[in-house]
Amino acid sequence: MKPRVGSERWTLAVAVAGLIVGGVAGYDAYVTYTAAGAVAADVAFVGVVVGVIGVVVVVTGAVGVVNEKARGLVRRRGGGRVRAGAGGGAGRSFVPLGWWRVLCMVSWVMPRGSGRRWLGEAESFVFEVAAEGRRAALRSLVLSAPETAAVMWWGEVSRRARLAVTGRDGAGRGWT
Amino acid sequence: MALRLTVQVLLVLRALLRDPGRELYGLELSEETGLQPGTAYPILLRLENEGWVTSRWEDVDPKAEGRPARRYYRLTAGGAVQASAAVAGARRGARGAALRGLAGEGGPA
Repeated sequence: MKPRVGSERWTLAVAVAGLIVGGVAGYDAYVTYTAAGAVAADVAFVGVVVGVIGVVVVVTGAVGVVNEKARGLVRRRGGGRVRAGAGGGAGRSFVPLGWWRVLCMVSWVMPRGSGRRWLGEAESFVFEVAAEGRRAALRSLVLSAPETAAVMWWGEVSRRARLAVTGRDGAGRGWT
Repeated sequence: MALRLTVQVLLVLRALLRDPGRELYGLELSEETGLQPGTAYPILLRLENEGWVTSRWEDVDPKAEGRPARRYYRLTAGGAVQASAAVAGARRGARGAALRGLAGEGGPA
């Protein structure tokens, strides 16, 4: 995986450093646990936590990039993004890259089809809303994502329960 | 997860009830109700889970249109009946004033 932007390089560096520190400190804590276990274990814990968080962020960013490619979204020089063929045809940059990654990450906690649909709706909304309202719309979408995901999972579980009991998933129901 | 008829839910229902046969997409609904998408989408989702609302992707070529496809929502037949009853009930109740206030209406509906 090749880091693409400065923030990703930093995150990767922090992740690697965290893993090294965590690994060394963890080994040290294991070896000298009875003598200096408390301090070494704390360092190991912090290092491992930093490493794990770093790795999660890097992997998340990588999957975000993969999602972008899968959706036909390409980065435009100078920041911003365009959708090849759609918004890109009009030469418009409409979803800031950082926000898009957050949306992609958030969509993972949703049922698969529902997450894709939510992303599609978010993209459509943000594309059409006035430029000055985009930031507020994106913030609103992200802040409401936990509630949205809970409702989606409830709908998904209900749909599967209906399917198991009646053999039908309920005409037109479900958020996919 | 039962559907709670909050003022925001009633605003969405009222927007959809203006012309029950008409399909609205997210931005239209947001403009008609004054709700942010993060508020409107979970509500639409709940309404869809309850079978009051149905939705579909717009059948267009995004390249030709120059924009992403929209997701259109409209009330189902049963949903329209239930939504009418809910909005009428709310207008008579304590939420009527709040509903009118949020929608910027002057007089009683």
